[in-house]
Amino acid sequence: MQIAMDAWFQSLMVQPPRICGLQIRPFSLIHEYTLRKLKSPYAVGGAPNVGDLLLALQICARDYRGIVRLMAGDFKPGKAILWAWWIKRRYGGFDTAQRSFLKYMANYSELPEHLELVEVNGQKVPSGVGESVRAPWEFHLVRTLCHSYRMNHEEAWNCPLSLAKCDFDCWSESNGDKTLVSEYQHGLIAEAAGRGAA
Amino acid sequence: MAILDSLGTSLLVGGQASLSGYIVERQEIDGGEVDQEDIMNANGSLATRLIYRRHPTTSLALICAVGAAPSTDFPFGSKAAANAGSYSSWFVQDVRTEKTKSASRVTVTLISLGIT
Repeated sequence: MQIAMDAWFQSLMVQPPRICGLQIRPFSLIHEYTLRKLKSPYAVGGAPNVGDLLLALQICARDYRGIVRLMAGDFKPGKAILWAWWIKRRYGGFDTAQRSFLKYMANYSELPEHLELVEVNGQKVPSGVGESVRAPWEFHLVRTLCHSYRMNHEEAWNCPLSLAKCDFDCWSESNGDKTLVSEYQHGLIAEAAGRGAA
Repeated sequence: MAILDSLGTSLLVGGQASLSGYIVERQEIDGGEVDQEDIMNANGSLATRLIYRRHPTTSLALICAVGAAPSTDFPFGSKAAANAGSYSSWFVQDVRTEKTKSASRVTVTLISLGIT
C-alpha cells in the first residue's frame, strides 16, 4: 500500500528503530533539548565522532527520568568503551550506526511547513525568528502540550518532537496563526516544482 | 475568472513580464460596490450624503515555479497590461512574498483606479 507521507501523517506513524542492538525511543523534546545543551553535533551541527554517537544513543534510548539519571552520572565510560568495541565487531563499524541514527533523527524532524513573509512591495521584511520568544522553544512546546493537551510535565517532555510540533502548530492555528502550508498548497508547490523540472 | 483565464497568456504586469512561471492558488475580488457616508450638521440632521463607488481590487495568490522572480515581475505601482479583457488599467497596489523551505508564494493585489 502506497501512502503519501506528509509531516502530519508521519508524526503519527513513525516508529523508532533499533540501532546497534539498542532499542531507541521516539526522538522527543527531552532528547532534542539534552543533545542541544550538551552541544552534540547531532543537534548543533558539526562532524560527530564515535563518542558523540555513543552519547546520543544512550540519551535517545532513555526517557525523561532515565536522562535525568544519566546526567546525574549513570554513564560509565568503561562500559562505553566496551560497547564501542562490541558495536564495531557486531554491527560493522560506526558509519552504519551513524547513518541509522541520522535517518532516525530525520524521520522525527519532518515538521509542518510554514510560509514566512519575506518581502512587502520590494522591501525586505526582517526575520522574526529568535525574537518572539526568549525561553527555549522546547519549553514553549511543553507548556502548550501541558495546558492545551492535558499532558503532565513528564509526558510532554517524552512527546516525540514531530508530534509535539504538529500539536503546537494546530493549537497556533486555532489561535489565529495563518502561516501553515495547506495540503492544497502542497499540491500546487509539487506542481510548480514539476513545471520547473520539465 | 478573467484574470485566471488571461494570466500568463494575455495579462502582463510590470514591463510585460511573462507570468507563466506562476500557478494560481486563488483569486479574490473585492470592492466595486457603491457605498455611502452621511455627514451631519451641528443639529444632528443630515447635511450631506456622499455616494461613491469603491475602487475594485483583485487579489491573486500565486505559487512561484522555478525561475519566477516576484519582486521584478510585479513592481509596486506598475500597470497591468492585457491584450484582451478589461484589466489593462489595473495597477499593482500591494505585493507580498512569502517563503517556505520548498517554495515561494506571492500575493499580488491589483486595483482599478479608473484611469489609464
